[in-house]
Amino acid sequence: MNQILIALIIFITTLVFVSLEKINRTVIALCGALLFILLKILNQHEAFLAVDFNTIGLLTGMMVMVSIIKRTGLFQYLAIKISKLAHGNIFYLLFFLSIITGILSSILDNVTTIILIVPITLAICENLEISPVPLVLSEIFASNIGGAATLIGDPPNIIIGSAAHLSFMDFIINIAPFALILLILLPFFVRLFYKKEMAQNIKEAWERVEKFDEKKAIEDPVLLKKSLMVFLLTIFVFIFHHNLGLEAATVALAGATLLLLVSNIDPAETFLEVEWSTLFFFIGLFVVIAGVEKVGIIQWLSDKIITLTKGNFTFTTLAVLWVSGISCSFINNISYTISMVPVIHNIGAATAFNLNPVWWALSLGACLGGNGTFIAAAANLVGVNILKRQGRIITFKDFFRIGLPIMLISIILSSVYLYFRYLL
Amino acid sequence: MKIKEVMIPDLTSVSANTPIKEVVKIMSQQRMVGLPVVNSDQNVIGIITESDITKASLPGYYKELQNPSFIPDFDQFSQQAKKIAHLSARDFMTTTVYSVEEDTSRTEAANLLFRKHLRIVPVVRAGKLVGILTPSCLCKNVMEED
Repeated sequence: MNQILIALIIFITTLVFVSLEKINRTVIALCGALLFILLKILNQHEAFLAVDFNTIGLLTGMMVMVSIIKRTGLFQYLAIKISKLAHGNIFYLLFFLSIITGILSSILDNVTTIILIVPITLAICENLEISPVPLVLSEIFASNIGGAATLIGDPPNIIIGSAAHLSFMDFIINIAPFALILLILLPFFVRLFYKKEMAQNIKEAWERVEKFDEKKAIEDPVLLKKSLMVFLLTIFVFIFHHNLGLEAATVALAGATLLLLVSNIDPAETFLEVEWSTLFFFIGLFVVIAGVEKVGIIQWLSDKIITLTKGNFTFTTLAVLWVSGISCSFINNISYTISMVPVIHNIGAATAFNLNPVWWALSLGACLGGNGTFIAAAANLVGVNILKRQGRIITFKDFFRIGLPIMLISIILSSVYLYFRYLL
Repeated sequence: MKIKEVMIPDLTSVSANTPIKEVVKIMSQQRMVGLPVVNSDQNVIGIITESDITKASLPGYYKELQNPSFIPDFDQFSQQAKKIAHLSARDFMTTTVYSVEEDTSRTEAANLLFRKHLRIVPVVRAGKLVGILTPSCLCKNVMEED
């Protein structure tokens, strides 16, 4: 009983402090993990075994690859090229920038996508003498939607893919088409919200954007060719990784190693750009959840959910979707997903459900919940901070007014999608 | 050796109210990378450098861009530079000033210059400006020594 209480206190304190972001989230997760070991709820060996190195390896591999490809200027090139398709129509500009953000975010992490796309958007808006706010907010929402589309797009998917043995193609077949629909609908919704801004005429100033020379954004054409070849090869292997009997981490780390080999870039330099803090955050959380699981809290929670949903599969799936969406608007979606994985495994073991729709519900809820508030996802904070540095202050309320409806609409649409595709 | 034997006994400085346009003119005429900002008692209250002014002349998004070379014209740089031309030194100066007393040893001053990557350091006597010290004048002094 004492152990259960202690585990519960450590777990809830960790979750609350991680979400408050007053103290560095990695430090909090590591403190939580260490407390479980120091208080002898877990021993060191159990803690090591609790870390899902498939998730850690996949994240590390992708971080290394993206840090190298980023140097080539490819993403800036793509953003400028696609923006030019707007031909002086402000809504088309919003549309194309949102779509490219969503697509890039499905292969890059959301924060990197925002750091790459938002400055280009600012440059375009400054030249057009328009406010960047609607476009940047739309890009933030698009990055969270795009991230939901693939196994490598957003950390919750990496965790779910690894825990449920879902492949890159499983995500492409089950989530990507729906994410694409959401992505296409997004600019229309943003337009409704920013009617005045979207009615501005940018035709005359458009000439300045037309003058942008996207080719000059390419900084290293040789590295670009090498990076593109390795990246496309990695994506190709990702498509077949289950058939080849390869784990996702192996594919990502092989891609990263091959890119280091052909690019001849000093690994020490590349490793500086790996977000070690994020990786240790994951490690800490895996251990915290293992502690909570060991004392039986996860089992208890799973039993309660089964009792509450009376074993009704449709209800369980939709409940996971909605609870995830709303929870992840306020608490960190990585810690939420890591906590939910063993719960869902237990539900599966107790009910003999085909769990796949439940995993999709968790993925959609955790990723799309990120749009609810500006504290919900790291990409939101990064985007809002870039705007702040330009003197455009977006308050919690400003973000919430548009973010919450977008989150709710996307969760409603997800319910319809899941119901008709898997639950009917 | 003390810094007063090494420093440039140049008292060129600006007040906090000096317009940026004037600051840039003085820097360019005197070929200085920065200027001490003093009050009416000649006490050093800040320092303004070329780098502070260049940063302020760039449109905000330049600092966010990985590589801004795709932007072809100079318009926005010149617009922003014109905007700040009439603002005063106070708006862009650094108020945390690293200065050295004229009796400071060369070693101590060199340590400050190189560790903090400073390109210009005011030399003061009881807080009042008496000269400036730059990495090149320090190196020149050392190299010309017997």
